[in-house]
Amino acid sequence: MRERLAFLSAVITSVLVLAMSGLLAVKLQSDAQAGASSGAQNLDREEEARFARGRALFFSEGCAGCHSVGGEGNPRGPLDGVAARRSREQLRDFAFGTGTAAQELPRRIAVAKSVYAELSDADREAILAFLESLH
Amino acid sequence: MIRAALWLALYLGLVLLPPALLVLLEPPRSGGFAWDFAMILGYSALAMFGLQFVLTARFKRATAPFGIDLIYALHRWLAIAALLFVMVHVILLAWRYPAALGSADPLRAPWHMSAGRLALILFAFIVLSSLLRKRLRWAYESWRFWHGLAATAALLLAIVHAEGAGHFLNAAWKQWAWGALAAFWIFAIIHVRLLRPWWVARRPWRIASRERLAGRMWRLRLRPVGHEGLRRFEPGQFAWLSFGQHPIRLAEHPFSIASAPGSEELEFAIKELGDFTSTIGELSPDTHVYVDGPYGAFSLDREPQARGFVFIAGGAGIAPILSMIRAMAARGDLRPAVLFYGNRNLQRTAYRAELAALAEQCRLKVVLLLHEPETDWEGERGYISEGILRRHLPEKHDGWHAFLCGPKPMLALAEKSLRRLGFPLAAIHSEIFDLA
Ligand SMILES: Cc1cc2nc3c(=O)[nH]c(=O)nc-3n(C[C@H](O)[C@H](O)[C@H](O)COP(=O)(O)OP(=O)(O)OC[C@H]3O[C@@H](n4cnc5c(N)ncnc54)[C@H](O)[C@@H]3O)c2cc1C
Ligand code: HEC
Repeated sequence: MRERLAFLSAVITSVLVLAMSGLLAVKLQSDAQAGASSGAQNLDREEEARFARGRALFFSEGCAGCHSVGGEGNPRGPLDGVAARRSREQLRDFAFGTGTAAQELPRRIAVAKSVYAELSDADREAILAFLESLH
Repeated sequence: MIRAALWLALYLGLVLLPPALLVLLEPPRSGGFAWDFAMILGYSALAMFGLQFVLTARFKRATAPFGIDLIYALHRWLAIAALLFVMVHVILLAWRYPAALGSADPLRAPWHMSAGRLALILFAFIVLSSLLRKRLRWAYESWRFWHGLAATAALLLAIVHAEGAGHFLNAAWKQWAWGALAAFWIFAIIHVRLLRPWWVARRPWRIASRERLAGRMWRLRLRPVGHEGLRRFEPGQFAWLSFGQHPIRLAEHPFSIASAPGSEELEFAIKELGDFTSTIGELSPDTHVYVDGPYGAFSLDREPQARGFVFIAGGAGIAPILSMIRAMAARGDLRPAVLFYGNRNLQRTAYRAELAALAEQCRLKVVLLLHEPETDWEGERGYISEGILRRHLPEKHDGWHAFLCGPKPMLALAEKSLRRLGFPLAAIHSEIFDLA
């Protein structure tokens, strides 16, 4: 009987945790929709192919852990259309946490991005070319 | 009941408050329902894992309304739930956002992702090994050691994972709040592994006497060395005992206190069952004993309005009940009580003379129940049943409370019989001796 009681309490607790987590997620959705909806443009297939190398690096170097492109990767940091917002210099600085972006980015992020100093120039150029395709 | 509900509400609050704060204050950028749900579930599961340590950290107030056996059962079921939640967290991401998970190769993956993966593997190991321990014939002490170690490592890795991934930690105060919460869980670990042992180690006990009671039951009396001992507890509560020169915390065992509160010495009634208990007879008299207690909610002191008591004990289950009856005698408590005490035969029945003496002193009726009695036995035979209860309980027993302690099958029978007699659930209290 006591074990049944423990089991029931655990089930009730878990269901409540699940339900509340769902509600919180729904709340976040509605907040986001109320705010400015970020128009995620779909990526042009041809361009995507052209910058395949930069794109591959984008995913293999962990950018996709924080950013998404065309719905792939972490959807909370969409980069679709960044090239329209940012100059090439800014793209470089923000992508790799260098220059003025080092101050503008949250400190944690700047630290996380500092590992990209180890990328080769060619790799960085490829990523940049890929970013520039994101109009 | 109300207190228990309040504690459950507190638990829910502690699990849901962190993700709620992260989401509701300075809302982070949404990533779509699946993403947000997976993240929030991850945070909730982490909070549940953190609280696992708090559940077993022996904070007396938290365990009091439930009883230790219920806490451990909750600990087990909630671990399974939390593991399922983490799996949903991962599966949802792997299904909808595979690129966000990145490479599983620890050489290529960011360290916080590898930490998360390792934590998941450890959590799964902990849950499975605990559920299968008996089937794997894994010795309790060794299992407990690895359980504690793996759980601590897994929790630290999971905290690193959440901080490193940093989703939803979009403000400095959020990171601070997370650090504080993590510190609270880690404090629970430090409390149970370092502070409590240290406190207990400063208050050693010696074996004052030890004798074989009946069959495989021993009576152990402990005397405090250089401190005032443990005089204030509720009769029926238990303590964790460890033996040896040092209080090796991993080799501690729970035993109910059989003596009444208020005396210098503590008495325990211990049955030889396995590796540890069968060495009771060989302990040298100057062994140090360490006592961590009292704990538990199995006590008539919790039911001050009870008008009478049914006690049902089997074998070593007599220990907490003896403490209650002795306390009644010492306090001059004249509420009526009936004790049903089951054993194999008369020779195996401990405390016979003492129980007879207590029956004279209080309004106590003692009914011995033997399932393989000696040939000349004229009392009750077999196991506890509705019929036996009816024969010995007064016609009117409303307002009575029942206290049950013994092997699980006996508890199940006793509960069923009591329910048939009209005892409400809230008036039936039981203590299970098996935590694992
Ligand atoms: C609240 C409570 C009060 C108890 N009071 C008494 C009492 O008054 N008298 C008495 O004889 N027994 C009592 N027990 C049972 C006692 O703790 C176990 O019988 C003892 O720990 C078994 O140890 P062992 O090494 O001899 O047996 P083992 O061979 O190790 O194991 C036998 C079984 O006991 C369980 N067990 C072993 N060690 C522990 C441990 N440290 N904690 C929890 N479970 C364990 C395991 O599930 C195992 O399957 C009580 C148990 C609990 C939970
Ligand atoms: C640890 C998480 C993280 C990683 C890894 C990361 N970024 Fe960022 N990045 C951010 C954050 C946070 C910002 C600033 C907030 C924002 O605008 O999204 C940002 C900003 C940017 C911006 C400017 C975005 C804008 O809208 O102005 C670009 C471009 C960018 N990152 C590219 C990259 C690339 C390319 C990589 C991989 C080489 C990368 N990032 C890796 C977190 C990260």
